[in-house]
Amino acid sequence: MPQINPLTKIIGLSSVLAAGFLLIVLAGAIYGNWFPVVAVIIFGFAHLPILITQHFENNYDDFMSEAAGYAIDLGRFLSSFLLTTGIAFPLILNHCHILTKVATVLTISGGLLVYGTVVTFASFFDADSEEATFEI
Amino acid sequence: MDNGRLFKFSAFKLPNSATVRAVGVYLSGALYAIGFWVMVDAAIYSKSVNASVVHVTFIDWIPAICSSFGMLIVNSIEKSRLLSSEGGFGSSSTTWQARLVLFLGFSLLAIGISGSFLVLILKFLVKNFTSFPTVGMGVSNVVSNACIMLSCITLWIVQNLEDDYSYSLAL
Repeated sequence: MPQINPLTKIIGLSSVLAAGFLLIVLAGAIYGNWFPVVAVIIFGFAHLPILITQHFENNYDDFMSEAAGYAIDLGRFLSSFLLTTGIAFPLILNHCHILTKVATVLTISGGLLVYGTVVTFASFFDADSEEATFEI
Repeated sequence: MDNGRLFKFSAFKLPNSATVRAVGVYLSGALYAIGFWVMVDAAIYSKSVNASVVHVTFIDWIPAICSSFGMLIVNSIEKSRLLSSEGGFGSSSTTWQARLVLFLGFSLLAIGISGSFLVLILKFLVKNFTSFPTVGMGVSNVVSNACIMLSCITLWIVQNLEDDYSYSLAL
């Protein structure tokens, strides 16, 4: 992968983040129903458990014990749970006639953009410190 | 050259255990979330747009709660305690405790899945609520518990994989 200027990365990511927030606010403002903001908060925090447990792994890897592996598993489990929650939340609101179909689609796409921004941002600055590639 | 290969064509290479482990854990979390939110969806639906006389009450939540506790118990057990009955660190009393607690966990899972069918049959089908938007609340109960059980099975299988991964990292 060619080396990208960090400034370009940050500008690109922030514009994607702004597009995500635009979709969310649009979904909220068109119908005067601000539940999509809750969904975007969930999407924004969905990558946090992986980051926390990776921090644990990096600091205590001198004794690569089984507990570190379990912590990573727990982080992945929670992160996947939160991401699925973020996708399921607008669908449930749509099913219960609280959000319209357009607002649901806008919320999910905006939330995925926000989540993608967070993940890409974290992986960029991991890749700077060490030579680790992006892994699932 | 490669003796550890399973298929004749190298196109069918099985992914290594670290990838399988990561994907399995992600899948398990997603399945648990689906199970949980399907149940919450039934409750919100019952409160907001339900036109029938049946409503989701605390009874409907009991199977999901049992399944969740069972999943928590089953996946908290230290797996190496189960097999080592002699030698090593685990004395035989620890092994028996582990087996007993594991049995409790699997019983809770079984209670969850059978209890959801019980709720579906006793609360909906027997009382002739068989048209779809109403019986959907019972069906979602079954779907929820099945998803939680699948999530538990996935997590269990993935954690019991032979991991050459952690050894290769330790060396």
